[in-house]
Amino acid sequence: MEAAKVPVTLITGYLGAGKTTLLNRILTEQHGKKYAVIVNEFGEEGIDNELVVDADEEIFEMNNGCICCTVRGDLIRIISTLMKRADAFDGMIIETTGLADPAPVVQTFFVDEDVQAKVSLDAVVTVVDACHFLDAVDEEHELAEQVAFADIILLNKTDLVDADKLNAVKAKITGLNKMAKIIETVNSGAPIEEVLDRGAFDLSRVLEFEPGLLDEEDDHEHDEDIISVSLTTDTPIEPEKFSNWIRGFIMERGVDVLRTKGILNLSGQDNRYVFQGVHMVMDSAWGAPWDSASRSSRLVFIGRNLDETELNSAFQACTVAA
Amino acid sequence: MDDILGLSRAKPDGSAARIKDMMRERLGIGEETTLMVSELHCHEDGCPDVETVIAVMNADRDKMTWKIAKPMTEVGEGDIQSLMIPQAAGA
Repeated sequence: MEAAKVPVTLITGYLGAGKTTLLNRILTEQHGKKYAVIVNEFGEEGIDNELVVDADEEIFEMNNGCICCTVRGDLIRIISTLMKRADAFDGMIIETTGLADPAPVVQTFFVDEDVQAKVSLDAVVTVVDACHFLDAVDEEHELAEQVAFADIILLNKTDLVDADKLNAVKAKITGLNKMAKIIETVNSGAPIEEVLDRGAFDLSRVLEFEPGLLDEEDDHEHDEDIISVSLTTDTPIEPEKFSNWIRGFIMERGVDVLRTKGILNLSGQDNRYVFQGVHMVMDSAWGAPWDSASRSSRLVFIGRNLDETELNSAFQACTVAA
Repeated sequence: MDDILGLSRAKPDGSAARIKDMMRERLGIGEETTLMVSELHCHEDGCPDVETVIAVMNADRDKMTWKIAKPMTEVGEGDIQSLMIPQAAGA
C-alpha cells in the first residue's frame, strides 16, 4: 500500500495582505497536528511554531530560463531533509514572500520522484488585501500571478472596504481566476478546515473543489494580461481530436498557460475524464461514472494573452459533431 | 482504464532512484547531499524533446547540473560514467 504523503499548503499573497496572520491562526488552532513551516524571511510578526525553516528563494533553472522548467532549489533541499525526520509532523506550510513567483514553487512538487513520493501539494492559498488590491494588481505582476495560481483566495480586510469596492475586488479576482474559492475574512480568520486538507491537486477531488468548473456564467471583464477562460460543450468529445489539440496547445503555449483544469465527457466512455496542468506539466485520471448525470465537458485555462474565441473554436472542433 | 488522451504523468518506476544511486557512487557522495533527477519534456526552441536532468544541490548553493538527451528509463551506467565531473565534485 502506498504510504500517505505529507500534505503541503502554499500560502502566497502580497506584502501586508495577512499571510503571517493566517499562518499563526493555523498554528495556534487546537487541531492537534504538528506542522513544519518554511518561510522565506522572518518578518516582524513572529511565527508560533517549533519547527520553522528559513528558505532562501533560490530559483533553479533546469533549462535555460524556461519558466516551465524552473523550480525552487531551496525547497527541494529542505523537503528532502525534513522528510528524513520520520513521523515528525503532519503537514508542511510554505509561506512565500510577497514578491515570490508561485510557478517555481508549485512546479517543485512535480519534478522530482522522491519529492512526489513523500509529499503532495495540497492547495495554493493566496491572501488578498481587499483594501489595496485594485490599486496594486495592475502595477504588480506578481500579485496577479499569485491570484491566478490560487485554489483558495482569502479576501482579507473586508472590514476596511464598502460593499461596492468589495464587489469590484471580487469581480477582478474572478476575472483572473474563476476556479478559486473566495473566502471573505477579517484578520485572515478563515475556518481552518477550508484552508487545509483541500486536495486541490487531487484529481479525484476536482469536482467537489472547483466551483468555477461547473459555472457556465461568464460575464467578467477580460481586459487583463492574465485571464481565466472557461469552455463548455454538451456534445461528446472525440478523444483523438482533443488529445491532438490540447497536447499541441500546451506544447506551444505552455509558458503562458499557468493552470488548466478540465472534466471531459469523452465519446464512448462511461466515466468522467479529469485532468489538470501547471504550465506544461499535465496529469489526468478517470473520474466517477456519469450514470444519470447530465453529461457535459468543461475546461478552464488561466493564463496570459489567451484568445477565448480562438480557444472555444478549437475546443468545439474536438466534439464528435465537428 | 488506460489514459487514452496521453495526459497522465509517467508513474514513478524507480528510474530516478536508480540514477541517483549511480550518481552517488560516481561522485562519492552520501545521502546528506540532495540529488534531483527529473525528465523534462520542454518544447522551447533549442531543447531536445526529452532529456534527463541531474542536479547536485549542496546546502551552500553550489550546484552542478548534467543533462542526458534520453528519457530516464534509458539512462544507464555508461551515460553516468561519461558525464564530465569537475574535480571538486568527484571523489
